[in-house]
Amino acid sequence: MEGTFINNIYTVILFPLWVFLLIILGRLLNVIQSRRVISLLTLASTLYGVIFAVVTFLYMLKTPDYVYENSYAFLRIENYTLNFGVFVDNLSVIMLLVVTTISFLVQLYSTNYMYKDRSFPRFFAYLNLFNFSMIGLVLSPNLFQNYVFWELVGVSSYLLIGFWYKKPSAADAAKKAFLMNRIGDFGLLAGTIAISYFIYRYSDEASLATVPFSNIGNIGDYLYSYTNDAVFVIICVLLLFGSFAKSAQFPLHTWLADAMEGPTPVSALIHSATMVAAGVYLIARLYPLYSLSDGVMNFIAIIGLITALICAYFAITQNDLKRILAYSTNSQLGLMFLALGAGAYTGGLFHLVTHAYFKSMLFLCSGIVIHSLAHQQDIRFMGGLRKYLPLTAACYLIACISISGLLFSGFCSKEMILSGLLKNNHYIFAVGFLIVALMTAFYMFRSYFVVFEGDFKGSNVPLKSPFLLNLSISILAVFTVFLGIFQKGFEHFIKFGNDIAQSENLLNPVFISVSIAVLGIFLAFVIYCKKNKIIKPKILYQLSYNRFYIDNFYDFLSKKIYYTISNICAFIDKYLVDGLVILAGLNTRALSWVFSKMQTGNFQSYLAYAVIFLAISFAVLMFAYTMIMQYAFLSGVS
Amino acid sequence: MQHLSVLILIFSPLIMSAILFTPFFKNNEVRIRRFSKGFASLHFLYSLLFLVFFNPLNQGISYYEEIKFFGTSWIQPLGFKMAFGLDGISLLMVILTSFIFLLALIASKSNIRQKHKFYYSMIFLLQTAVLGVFCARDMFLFFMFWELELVPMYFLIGQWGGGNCKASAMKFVLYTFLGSLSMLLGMLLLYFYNFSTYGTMTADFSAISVSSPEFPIFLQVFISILLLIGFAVKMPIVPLHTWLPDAHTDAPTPVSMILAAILLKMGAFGVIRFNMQLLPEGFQYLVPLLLIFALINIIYTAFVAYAQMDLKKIVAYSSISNMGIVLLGLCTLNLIGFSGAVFQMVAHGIISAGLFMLVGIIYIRTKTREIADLGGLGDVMPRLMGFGIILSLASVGLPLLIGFVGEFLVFLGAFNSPVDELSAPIKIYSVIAISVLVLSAAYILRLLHKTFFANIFEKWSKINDITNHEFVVLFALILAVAFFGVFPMSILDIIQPILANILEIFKI
Amino acid sequence: MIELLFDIGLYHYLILALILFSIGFFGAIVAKNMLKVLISVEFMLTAVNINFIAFAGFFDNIKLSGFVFSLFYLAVGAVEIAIALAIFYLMFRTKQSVNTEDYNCGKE
Repeated sequence: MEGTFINNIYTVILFPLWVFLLIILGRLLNVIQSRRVISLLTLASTLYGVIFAVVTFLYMLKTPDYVYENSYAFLRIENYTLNFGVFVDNLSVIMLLVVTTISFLVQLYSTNYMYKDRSFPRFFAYLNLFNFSMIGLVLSPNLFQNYVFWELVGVSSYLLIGFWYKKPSAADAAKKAFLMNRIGDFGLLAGTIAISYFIYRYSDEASLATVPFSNIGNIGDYLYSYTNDAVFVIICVLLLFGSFAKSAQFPLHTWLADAMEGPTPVSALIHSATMVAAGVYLIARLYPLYSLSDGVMNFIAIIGLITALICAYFAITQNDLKRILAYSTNSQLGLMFLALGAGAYTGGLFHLVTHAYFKSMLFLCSGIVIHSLAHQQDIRFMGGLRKYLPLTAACYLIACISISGLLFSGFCSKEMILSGLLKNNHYIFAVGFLIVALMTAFYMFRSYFVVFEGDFKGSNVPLKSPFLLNLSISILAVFTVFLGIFQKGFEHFIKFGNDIAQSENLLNPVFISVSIAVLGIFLAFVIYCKKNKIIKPKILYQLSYNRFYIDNFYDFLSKKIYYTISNICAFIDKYLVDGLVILAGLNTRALSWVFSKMQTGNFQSYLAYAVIFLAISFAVLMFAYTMIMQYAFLSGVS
Repeated sequence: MQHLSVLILIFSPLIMSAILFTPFFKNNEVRIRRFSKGFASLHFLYSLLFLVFFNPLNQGISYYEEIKFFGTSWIQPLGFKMAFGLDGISLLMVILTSFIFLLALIASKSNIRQKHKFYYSMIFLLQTAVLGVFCARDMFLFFMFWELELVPMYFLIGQWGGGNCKASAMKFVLYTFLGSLSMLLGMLLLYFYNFSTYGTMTADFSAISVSSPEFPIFLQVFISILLLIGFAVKMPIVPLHTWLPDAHTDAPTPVSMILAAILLKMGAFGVIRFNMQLLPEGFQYLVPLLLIFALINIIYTAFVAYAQMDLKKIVAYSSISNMGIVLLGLCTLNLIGFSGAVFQMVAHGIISAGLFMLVGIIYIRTKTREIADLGGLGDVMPRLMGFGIILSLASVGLPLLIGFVGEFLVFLGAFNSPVDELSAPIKIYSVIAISVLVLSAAYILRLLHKTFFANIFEKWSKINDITNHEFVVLFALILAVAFFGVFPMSILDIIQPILANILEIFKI
Repeated sequence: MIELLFDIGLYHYLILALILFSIGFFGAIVAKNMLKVLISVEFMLTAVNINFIAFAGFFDNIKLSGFVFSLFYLAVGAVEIAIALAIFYLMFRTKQSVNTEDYNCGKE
């Protein structure tokens, strides 16, 4: 029975694509218009995915180390083959579960949330496109297909961020996200091609040219032995660029906060739980490759730590509710990178799973808040909402506790990361991790206290939240609370090498991290709930509020520098290259003018021309003759 | 398959263009249009038949036919033959040609307002010329058709264009003419050298190519350069490209479609036919130089495109950038990159036709192409925006759409290329070329956003969405974009044997 | 001194001819008067004639063909002058002018 499910798992990828095409064509040909039909079709396709994921997962639990792979040739040139297909192992099943369940709940939420929007069908079409590409990405059997769907998720994210394309800010944010992701795609494509080249050129097995994940250990060894250190590191860094862009890590992190211009369900689905985690997922996939070089691993960890620190720092002073959550996502993703880079493989991935649930719940809660306040996103105009939206406030609180690492699933995953860091003796990273934890607790509870406690500062009375919205967040809350139970199981299910049994001397790290979280919460409580005046260090505040001016720098880069270069090129093209052509035309014209002026009609001038011409040609001939004769004599030919 | 005739394929448009002048059509615009479209559809179906009966494993020429005049060949004393034949590349180009011409004819309805009879007959004359170029098996026959194509193009741009169209048409013709001059010189050298060495007067491609390796290398290089100048103008390669933005901007939409989709491919096709098949050593000698030109083509024009203010110019410069990728693919000298280049030729043909159609549709309704004047059109033209998004994404090389496969194969081929043995750092070039992913996204998104997104101007709030025939054109193109993006092997299978055959000549 | 004066070689003749030809050429392209042009042309002819005689004197052993040719040349020159004068007379009758600038009819 499970066999049929697993053999047909490719339908999980194709079903959303089919629904997507159905909605698009239906709209184009005016066949399907009903919103109910559209949302039911979408939900059905995702539920289908959930069922498959659950059945496969249960099967995988029973049979350890089971791997299913099925692929066909997409491109074949001589014996160079690139495959499409599906690949199911423990990691992809977990990801499939996360993606389909969150996707399902968010779609349920959007059915109500987006119902009044004029472009409801388009929204659901894009959601299906995203589902198709995300599931395709998760089930990729090789790096090549991974790249294909990597770009597709980027595009669906672009389309969804720019969903309200009439808003200039949304359109700009979409463009920014797309371009930043393209920079990552550049690295990923170059890295993929480079790996593929080395494997194809130097190893005997041409079938490895498509870089299958099932064989990534061998590929890493091959690559390591065929290249020198510098080339190996360059290839790894190129690949990592893809991950950095997709997961919004340090140099390329600015797009994620702007991506909040999209509808809130999109933020919950794509920009917190699933797509942005794809970068982490890819690192986990290529872990055997990266772990060959300590430098690369440290690079990942350091970038992750920098991102985690600065984004947590940015989140402290933001006033836009969704931006706080966005920087929080950014920071948590940084922690996952840190964990993976520092060798806490299982911890990082478990944090990916738990974070996906509570962060999407946070976003859905913020959606309810924003919805009930008639699209007010500024937290300075909220407050005291616990009275109006009790369920939302409870869910938000659960998520805050969880993300701070105090209790529930967030506690388990953070504790796994911390113990992993300590086990591998990365004490500096551990200290950085604790600082991030402190800031996380602080800004999350700041947002909770400002939004839900105190007095209401808005003008209109908040609306009640509808049933479907409440249902989705409640289910997510259940996940958040109880996911921690599966920590032990997860440790055995997802492991790299013999990286298990790390929870030996748990007590110390638990004590430290929990007390740090409590400290953060206490600070937030003192400052924001009890309204104690504190002196804000102005420079630090400004730096945080303006995000180190990195956004301004990028704006300068794109608007000024890039545009100037283009204009210089255009100038060269118009006046230099084309100018030469026009000059050639003008020369011809000028020459013809000169010649026409010479036609005076006076026979005497003609006579003069004739003689001058004869004289010149005679001189040339004489010269040529002498030269030839000289040459002939010199070279001994007579 | 003996019943299929290449001659009918090539010369039936010529006959059609003559038939349009019979009294039956008088000046009945509707009748002219209907017959033209009907004929073009039949022609397309007929060209598909060639595909059906094509043997993909054939490395040589299929459907060979020669016209004889009273038992003698075309110009018997000089050994010129009027011979036609199809190999895999020609077949692909022929099908692309009749497909794009069909769509251009459908698109003509809303673009052409005067002198219909003359217009349609010129289009058909152009079709014959183009098909002749793709199918000719004789050097001078190739040249004849190559030059013949200038005549209808001159009239099509000059008569029905907008803006400064007379000057643009003149520039186009003169530019191409100068290129052809150098090309003719190269052909003559090839012909006479072949004659003086082997004593046979022949201009037949297959006869010359067999004897080529014994040419002295400097002569091969010299002839290669002469020929390349001719093809570089058409393709275009960067310093010789400036006719293209002008011609595109001033040509009517259907002619722009044909120009971008088909005529540019003639340049690349010429490089394959002459430089690669006839003069492999000369080409190989020039590869390090050409690679640099290809890179300039790709990167530099991508920057130039970003700074343009005219929609058509953005698309025109993106065409040049894409043809740079084709050139890069040709220079890789291995099967992966070479197939990528030919695939990219088809892909770019379809995508650029679509983008020009898109711009044309906007221009008909708003009478402007300045991006500063446009914006928010997605509000009133949602369908067009849908098509625009898909075409733009295809143009930036989104996977599962047609633009991806060509680019990907070219980059992959460049990385695998044996050319680095010629002391050309092609791996570094390849990585630089991949950065076109970002650059192309920048200018294409600029085009998309400035026309469809953000706030709409009050004056455009009354314009209509696309009409039915425009829908048909765009939909056909989108179908092709999606189909070949998902099933690229359907094209690659046709061309691989002949490409492998060509590459065997190279000693590298 | 006298020796030097009478020791005349080929080059002296050639240089004389060159000077004469140059004067004639200069006159022919500069002179405004038709008759002056004609006289200049005669100068050039004479220069050529001198060349003939000089070459004949220095290189021709029989010393005849060159001289005979120069005599022919004189006759031809006389005929040419006669015809030219007749043409000039006709031209003068049509335009009432001997100025060369009035005769730029080659332009049309």
